[in-house]
This record gives sequence, C-alpha cells and structure tokens, in this order.
Amino acid sequence: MEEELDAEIDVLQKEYDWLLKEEVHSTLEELQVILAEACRRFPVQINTEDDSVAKAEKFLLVCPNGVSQIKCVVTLLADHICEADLTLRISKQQTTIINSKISPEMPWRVHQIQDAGNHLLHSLAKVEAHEPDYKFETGRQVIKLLDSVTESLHRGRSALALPRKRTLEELVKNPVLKAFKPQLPNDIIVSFYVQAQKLILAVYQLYVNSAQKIDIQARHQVECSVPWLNDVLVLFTLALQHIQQLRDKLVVFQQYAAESKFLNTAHLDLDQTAQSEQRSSSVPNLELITGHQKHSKDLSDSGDNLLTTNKQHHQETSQITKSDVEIMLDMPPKNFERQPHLTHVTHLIDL
Amino acid sequence: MLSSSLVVPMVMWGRNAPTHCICSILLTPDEKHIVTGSNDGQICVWDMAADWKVNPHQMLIGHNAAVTSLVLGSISQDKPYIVSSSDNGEMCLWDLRDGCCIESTKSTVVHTSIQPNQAIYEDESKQIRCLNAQTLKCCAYNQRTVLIVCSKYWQIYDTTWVMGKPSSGQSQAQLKMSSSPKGVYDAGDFSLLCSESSRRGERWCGGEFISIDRIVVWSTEGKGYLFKLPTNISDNEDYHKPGNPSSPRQVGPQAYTVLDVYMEKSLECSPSMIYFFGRRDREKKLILRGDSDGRVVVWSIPDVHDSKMKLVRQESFEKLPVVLPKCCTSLQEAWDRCTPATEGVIDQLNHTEERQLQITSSIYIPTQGRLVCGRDDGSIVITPATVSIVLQLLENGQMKGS
Repeated sequence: MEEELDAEIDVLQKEYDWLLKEEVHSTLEELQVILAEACRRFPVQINTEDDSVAKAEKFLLVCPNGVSQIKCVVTLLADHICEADLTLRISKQQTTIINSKISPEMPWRVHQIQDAGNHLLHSLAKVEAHEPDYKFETGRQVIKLLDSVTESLHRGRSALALPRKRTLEELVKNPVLKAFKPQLPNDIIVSFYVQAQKLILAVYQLYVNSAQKIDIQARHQVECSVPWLNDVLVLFTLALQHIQQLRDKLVVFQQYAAESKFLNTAHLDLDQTAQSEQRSSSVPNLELITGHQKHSKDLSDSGDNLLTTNKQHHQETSQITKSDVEIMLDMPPKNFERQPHLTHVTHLIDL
Repeated sequence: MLSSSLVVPMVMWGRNAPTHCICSILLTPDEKHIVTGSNDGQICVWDMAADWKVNPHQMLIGHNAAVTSLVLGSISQDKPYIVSSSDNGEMCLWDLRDGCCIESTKSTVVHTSIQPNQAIYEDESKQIRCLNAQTLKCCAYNQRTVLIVCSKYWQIYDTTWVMGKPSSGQSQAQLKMSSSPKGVYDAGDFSLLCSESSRRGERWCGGEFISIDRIVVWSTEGKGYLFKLPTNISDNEDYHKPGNPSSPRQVGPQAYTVLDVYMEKSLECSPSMIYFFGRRDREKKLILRGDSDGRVVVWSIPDVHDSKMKLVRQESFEKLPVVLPKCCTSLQEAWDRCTPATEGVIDQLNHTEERQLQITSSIYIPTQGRLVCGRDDGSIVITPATVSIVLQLLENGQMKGS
C-alpha cells in the first residue's frame, strides 16, 4: 500500500513537472495564436507592426420585428461611425419626418470598440511576456499570470457584450449628438452602441413630465449585426476557455499539494521538488503519461466532476462548437482532446 | 457600546501573516513611511527607521479590488495624506497618522495611474514606435532627453530644438501619452539616441534618470539595472538629421551595476517598483520594490565614479557588480518576530495533542454568534465567537473545542 502510494506520488510529481514545463507553454502559444487572430480581425489599428488601413463597412440598421419608423444607414470605420444617414418618422399630433446625417469630418466614436481593443492588446502583451523556454517554477505563478490575462479578456469581452447603462442626463448632454447635421429636434436624442455582435441605434422621444422633468416618452431601436464583432467575441470566449482548462489542471495539483501536507503520507512539497526535478531531467515525461491514460480512463467520471464544478466559464462558453473554432483558426482538433491524464489525481485524494 | 450605530472592527491576525501580493508602492517624502497596496485591496503602511529597519505599522482596509495606484494626497508635510485607487474604480483619501479614511468615492472609470499637480498639454506631436510603453520619463537634469520604457526595450529620445527650426516658444519638453499604444510627444526633434532590449526571460517595466547620463531601469524579475548612457550623444549633430531617426549607433548604453536581492523562492508575479529621490537632509536615491510575498525591498543607488565604472563596463551582465538591498523584510517575517506570537481565533482550534490539524472550512452564524470550523480529521468545532475572542484578549487562554 505504502509503496503503491509512493509510486503514485512519484508519477504525480512528474506529471506536474510536465504540466509546468510543456503544457503551460503550449497553451500560452495557442492563446497567442487566438489573441493575435482576434487582433487581426479588429479593424482598429491596434498593432504597430501592421500598418494596414482599416476598411470602412456599410450597414443598414433595421428593426428586428419588421416595421420601423427609423431608417438608418451607417458606415463603420474601425471604432467610429464616419457616416450615417438617419430618417425618422415621428408621430405626435401629425407625422413628421426628420432627416439628419453624420459626416466624416465629425464622426461618432464607439468607445466600446476602442476599449475592447485596448484590453485585447493588454492580454496579448501578458501572454507574450514569457519566452517559450522560460521556466515556470510554481503552479501559483502560472495561475497568477492566467488570472491577470483572464481579467483583461473579461474586461475586453464585457466592453463589447455589456454596454454601460447611461442615465437620461448623460444621453441628453452627450456632446457627440452635435455630430448630426442638421441638428436633431430638442425632444429627440439618439445613441449608438454595441451589444455583443450587434450595432444598435436607440432613438428616444422625450417629453416634460408633470414634475417638470424630462422623461422618456418612447424608445425605438434599430440594429444590425457586425460580422467581425461576432468573430472577435468568439475568439475572446475561446481564449477564456483555454485559460480555464489549463487553470483547472493546475488547481487540481495545487489542491493536492495542500492536502498532502496533512495526509502525512508524503512529506513532499510539490513546488520545491518541482524545481530540483526540472534541473535534473530535461526529457519530458511523455511516456509515463501515455502509459497512465489507461488507468485514468476508468476513473474519468470522478475526474470530470472535479473539473467541471470548478468555474463558471464552462456554462458561458458552451455555445461555441468545436468546428466553429477550427474553421476560424485552422487549428488541428487535437487541442481539445488532450487532457485525460489528469483524472487519476482525484483517485489519490479519495484514498 | 453606547451608540448602536458605532461598529468597531477588530482583527485577530493569527500566526500567519495575511497574504499581501504588492501591486503598488509609495514612499512618503519624509522617508518615514512606505505604503504598499495589495492585489486583495489592503494597504499596508510600514515604518522606515533611519537605520533602514522596516516594520509594518498599520493595515488600511477599505478597497474591494487590487490597489492600482498610490499617490501623495497633500504636498504639505503636516498633512500626511495619501490617495489610493483600486481596480474597480474606488478612490480613497487616507490619513496616515491614524489610518482613517477621510473620503472615498467610486467612479465608473478605473485609474491606473495618478500624478499630483501636473499640467499636461500638447503643442506638437510626432508618432514614434513604442509598443506597450510602460513608463515615460523626462530627464530632470537637462530637461531635453526622454526615457521611454517599453516591455521589450527602452529608448532614450532627444527633444532638443533643431537650430533654425521655428520654435513655438517652448523650451521645455511637454509630454502627453495618448490612449493608443503610441505616445504622442511634443518635440521639435524627436530623435532616438539609444535603445536597449530586455534580457531573455525578463521584461522591462519601468525606469528613471538618476543623473544627466545615467538611468536605472527595472525588470519584471524585480532587479534594477544601472546604465551609463553614451557620452555626448545629445551634442552629436548627426542625430538631428531629419528623416533618419534610426541612424546606427556606435556606442550603446552600458550597464554598470545590478540591484539584486538573492531569494530562494522565485516571484509569483512581477513586483511593483518605484524610484524615490529624497532631499530631506541630503540627496538620497532609492529604489523600492514590493513583491508577491508581501516583501518590501529597499536599495540605495550607489554613486559609482566614472573612473571606477570603466573597469566593469565591458563585461557581461552576469559579472556586473551587485548591490544588495539596504533592507528586505516581509509581512510574515514581521509576524514571526512578534513575541508572544499573535494568536488568532482559528489558531486555537487547529491543534490537538498529537498533530496540527488543518481547518478546511469555516462559517460564522451571526444570529447565534457562533463560529463553526470543519477540520481535516472530520471533526467539527462549534464555538461562541465573542467568548473565544474575549478569552483571547483578556486571558490569552486556550479554547478546547470538542
């Protein structure tokens, strides 16, 4: 029993070393590819290496349920709306038609796009911060790195997916409204924003309520789907998924390291031994790991439980199918199959 | 308690110091207090004595997210105020004398850096390549060279006005960072004087001029490197040729000293470092570092004479003379120095006669005022929380759980 356990711990140690030495770097490389791809799709010029000029795209905003009093054609150039042609049919006492335009001299900036681009660049910089031959010495170090990348990615994604709620006052006093020529009537305000893959134009009809305050009488919206926004969001999510998978693996070992302290079966401090092992053996323990897959398959049920209960991203990210991603990135599917060797860790803990 | 609305929070620290992964650091101008902000949102104030002994003094708890920047809140010496901002948009004004939070506010924007009293405006601009710029510093000694630290390299730019070019009346460089990765600079002539790449496995994260021709640059590994810039670079006419910003450099900058601290454990994330220039009784140039273990390291930058420096300038980085810190202390070390050891409530519950037990879970039930702890041998301890605290404070007695 004792010997068996020792052997198990030995293998575990080797797997942990392998994880830090090989798997972490390969995941970081994959992340780099994903994020670089996201940057490429971003029409904002956020990469100095690439001096390509952003292309303007024309969109027709329509009401999702058919009939609409609003007609709007916008030209989106990178993070700003450089041209827009807005026609409103407002029915008060009598129906009036309002026509207004945005011209390239005074564009409407969509700050959400700029923000998301900045966060994306930030996370790419963090992922690239370590050379492929950098030796990560502890799991905690990697987890800290992954957490900070996750933070940036989350911010980038929510910049697009969750537009900030604005107060009526902010909307009314929005200086960008002046971009519309001829000026919109006083009781009409508009706002462009991004929500997930959609560019939305909201039109508010205002009135003065009984308390002599400005209030909203009606809100109309038209929208269109921007294809590259969708791609970028998918890549954001994919990157988060990759990080989560690696993090889960590391956490398993961290948990074990914490438990082994009082199990009294082994006096090993995983992190310390990891360092000495790394120096002595430069050959990856690939053989051992493939040998172990058989063993771990029997226990894969319990292992799955452990991995899936861990974090919330699993649910959020589930809508992306594997094939989607492969098409976008031309990635071999192997990345998604590679993790069964971890599962027997739970077995040991259960002992 | 007299007033029911008054809540006096109290912390029983226990034997282990709280985690304090430092992400921002500040030294007050009187050189008496080091202030560190952690990833968890706590701010720790350390006292620094004249003999470089550093001791944690108080913990300011108020932020709910990582402290992104710390800055002086008042220039006057008799008001030791600091302003802190956190990753979720909170900003607090603290009084260092008693640790009171004087004012706090929350905004939707997150401040990543705050500077006191600095008017910034743009006059002219020129784009230069500086991806991932971390720091931009203007040389205080000649006011015309600019140091830009990017993660993979640092560069020195010259902002001297070219002879004959119409000047707009500004003799001093004014700088402006734009929101894009590229910086926009006011400069008549923005020529690259010299540049140095980061070492393998390291990234630059900040730097500052320490004299007219010397700079200190620090890296993600928590080391500082002192560089001597090539002499007379700014007087060389060749550098001012327009349209030739990257003319080849004959002599590059040379490192002459490394600021290092030898530690067994490697850092978990890159530390926060600042340069401090004090003029209280005599000029003092310090580098402060706060790292992931809640450790504060202070180096004093040595004044290396030119004649001595020449001996080492040609050598590789590994052979550079190393300057060890004046002080290096962590929260845990301060905790360990405490006699008698600080005992927390949980510390009483986790040992039996035979061995140390691990507390694996805990919950406080406010309606009953009880603290419940689960231990790794399967036992659960329920203890009246206030009683155990009172016991701890008044009698230093041991609670025996069952």
